[in-house]
Amino acid sequence: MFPGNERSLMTLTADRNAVSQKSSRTGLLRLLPGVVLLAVIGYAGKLTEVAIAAFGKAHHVALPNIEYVLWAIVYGLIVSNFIGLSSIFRPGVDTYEFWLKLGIVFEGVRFLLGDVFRLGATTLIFTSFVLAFSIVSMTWMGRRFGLSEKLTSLLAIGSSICGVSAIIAAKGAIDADDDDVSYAIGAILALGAFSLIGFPFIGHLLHMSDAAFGLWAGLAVDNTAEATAAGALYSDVAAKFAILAKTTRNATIGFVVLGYAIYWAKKSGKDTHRTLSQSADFLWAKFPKFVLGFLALSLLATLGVFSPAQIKDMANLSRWAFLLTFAGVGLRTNIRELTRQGWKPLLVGAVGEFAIAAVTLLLILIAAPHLHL
Amino acid sequence: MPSYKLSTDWWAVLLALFTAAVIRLGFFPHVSW
Repeated sequence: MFPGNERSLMTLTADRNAVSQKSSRTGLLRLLPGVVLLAVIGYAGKLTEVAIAAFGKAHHVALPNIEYVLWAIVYGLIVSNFIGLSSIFRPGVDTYEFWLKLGIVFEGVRFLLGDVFRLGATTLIFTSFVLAFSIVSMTWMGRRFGLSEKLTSLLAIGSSICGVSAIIAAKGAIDADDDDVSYAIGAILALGAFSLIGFPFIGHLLHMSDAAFGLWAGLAVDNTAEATAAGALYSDVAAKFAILAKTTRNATIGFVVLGYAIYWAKKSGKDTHRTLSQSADFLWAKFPKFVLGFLALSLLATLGVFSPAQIKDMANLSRWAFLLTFAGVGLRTNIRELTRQGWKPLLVGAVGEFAIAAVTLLLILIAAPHLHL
Repeated sequence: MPSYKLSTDWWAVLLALFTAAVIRLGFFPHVSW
């Protein structure tokens, strides 16, 4: 190679490195405004909870304790729906799912591994009931209301496993239309917002224990962020149980999506021959990897690696991460967009969700005394 | 060049485990709520 060429090649490589370094730096910078907004809104929620409690104490008035969770969501809703979210905040606001996953991994230290497996097994049994029920009921409802079969499949997957991420995972697998996907996501999100108010209300009405309520929220609320928020609105212990139940439910996502993918491939006459290793690759690709982090921290805590003070530090870090998540839940809920999508998918979703919530509640109320929940 | 892009899941796991290690070693400030 000629020296000149070599030099130009080196310059080119150096330029490329500089460009990629610069783009990753600008990538992180782009996230900053949205992340700051999440932190400001979440912290405002926390301050409101503290201020109300202090006011009640100072004036000797019994005020209902409204958790920071609800304030953070409400402030987020106000900002996104009445003030509007400028596009510079969007990339950062979209990180709310990252904070959710980070918070869940940290929650791992609060569980002994034995409890994870014991409760996880219970959750799996419940989940298979919920799954079977939601697939059957959604499919029946979808047919009655004349929704497309793919939209019905998406709604069934969303309501049985984990809302938005399950729908997005299923979208590619069953070749669904973008319109169907946004309908299904809209319906699931609208119902998630309702569950934040409805679930704790019913839980208090029935005097449910923290564990039983957490299990119910984790099993019946669709999105991980909303399930965590519903649990946290009830109590800290309920949030812990909701996270475990929801995480177990999330871990089944690959199996259900794979089942649906094979069903749709068969239906459209595509080659359904999947080798075992292809299926294993698919299951691994759809497996929520943060569950592994949760299990790793739970294992370390079980082995006594951390002191009680260190466990408390991590549990608090988890709450700070959730604070950002809850602000994001409010910020990404656009009421106008939800109403624009028509009432049919929403109705099918709503009736199905109510049925699922009721069946799960019944299962838990029956099983709770036997499981010492 | 192979792609080293990690999913948010893995970033969350790595960041949490790294922080846990720093906390275990006693280099992380006390986190209050």
